[in-house]
Amino acid sequence: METGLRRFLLILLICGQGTVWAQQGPVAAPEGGLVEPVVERSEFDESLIDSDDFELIAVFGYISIEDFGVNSLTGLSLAYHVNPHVFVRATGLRSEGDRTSFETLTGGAPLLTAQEREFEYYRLDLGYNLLPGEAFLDAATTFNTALYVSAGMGTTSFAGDDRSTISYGIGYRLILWEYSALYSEFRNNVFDMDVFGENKSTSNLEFTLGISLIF
Amino acid sequence: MINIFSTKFFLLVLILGVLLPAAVRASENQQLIVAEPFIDLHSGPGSAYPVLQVLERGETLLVLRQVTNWYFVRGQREVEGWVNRDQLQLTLNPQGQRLQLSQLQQDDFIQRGWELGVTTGELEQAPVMSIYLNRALTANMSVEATLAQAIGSVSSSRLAKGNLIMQPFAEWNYSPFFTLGFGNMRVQPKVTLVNPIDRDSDFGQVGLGIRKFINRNFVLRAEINQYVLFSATNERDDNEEIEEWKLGFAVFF
Repeated sequence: METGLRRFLLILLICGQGTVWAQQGPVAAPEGGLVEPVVERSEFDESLIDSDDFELIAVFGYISIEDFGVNSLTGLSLAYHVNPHVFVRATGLRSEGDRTSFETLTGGAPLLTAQEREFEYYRLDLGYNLLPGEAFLDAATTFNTALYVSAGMGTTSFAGDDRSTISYGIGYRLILWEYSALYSEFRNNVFDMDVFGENKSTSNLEFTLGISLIF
Repeated sequence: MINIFSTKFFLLVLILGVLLPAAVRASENQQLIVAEPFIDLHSGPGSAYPVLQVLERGETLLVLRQVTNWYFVRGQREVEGWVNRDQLQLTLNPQGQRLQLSQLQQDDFIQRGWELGVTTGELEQAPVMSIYLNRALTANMSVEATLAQAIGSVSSSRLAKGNLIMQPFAEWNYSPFFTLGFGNMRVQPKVTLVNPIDRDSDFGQVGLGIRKFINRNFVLRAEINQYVLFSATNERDDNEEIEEWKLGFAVFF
């Protein structure tokens, strides 16, 4: 059964190639002897141009959750490039808060349950390619790059509550080849925390590396 | 380890075998002829990138891909580079006519099918973020579904609503619209408060806003809304009224 399916696929493949070649090959002279000139009327069809304005980015890194230690961070980002300078991004990130120094020192009851320690963060940001540039690996290899700044807002779910978050940062994008880019980004995420009784604004620094699929 | 005898591998080869020649064929059609004395080829998609090559009058070029309003082209002398939209419009198509690239206009926005957008703003002094999907029924009327989350200092609320939107002057550059909607709001007090109880209420909403077509398939949007929460109970006579403003952007397709 399996072999039969493979054979069928192989035949399909050969037929597929054959039709492509047949379409490109010259037209054989008809039997009458007269050869009609083959005039190739090619049209310019704009819709056939491969448009690459979207980017899906896998993100890995660290976030320092204030009072809860530095923790690994993973996420996914979808970016849309509006013009050569401006892009918009939607990002979802996930991490987990560690024990606070207080919890470790006193050895007492934990401040948060395991579920409350889960850190989930969604944000939207607007980015601006401040310094577009090129990077040279050797004389023959050049990559297009950009130093960008971005700012946005989002929602952080941590310690049992949703927290409105302001986020800003700076990053570097290196386009590896036409379908992929590398990202490196440093951001600050500011939200209010009231776990320790008083409401205070916290700065949660984030460093990430990313690799993207451009489509 | 790739098993070259597996059906999956055969499928992959089949797809590549059929699609790749098709892709090559597609780009072969995208040939243009330079009509101006020369056009500039930049080293990257953006006017800040230096011009490293030019294509001269009469040379043919292939358009390989597009990133925003820049096009990656290959000339007949195998030189490659990025041409901006305005310069590409100065080339001739294979019929010898000036190339007309279809620039999305206000008209395309009026005739859009779907619009997907995000907005941020304030709902009763609490920051609010929302995402919406809009379906155009006619040039002046559309329906819309919105999900939003507002996070205040004592509570956070999530709301879902459906809207009917009238845009009477769709052709205006700054086009006003009016909304009418119904939905449900769930208010969740902060966990640190004593005895937190979730509240769930239906609401009606009216609003007005403005949309501005920017370029390609991009629009900006600003709106203000007035909500009436049907929260009157035996103990409380009045319905709650809250206000919201938000700014955002959307793509349409």
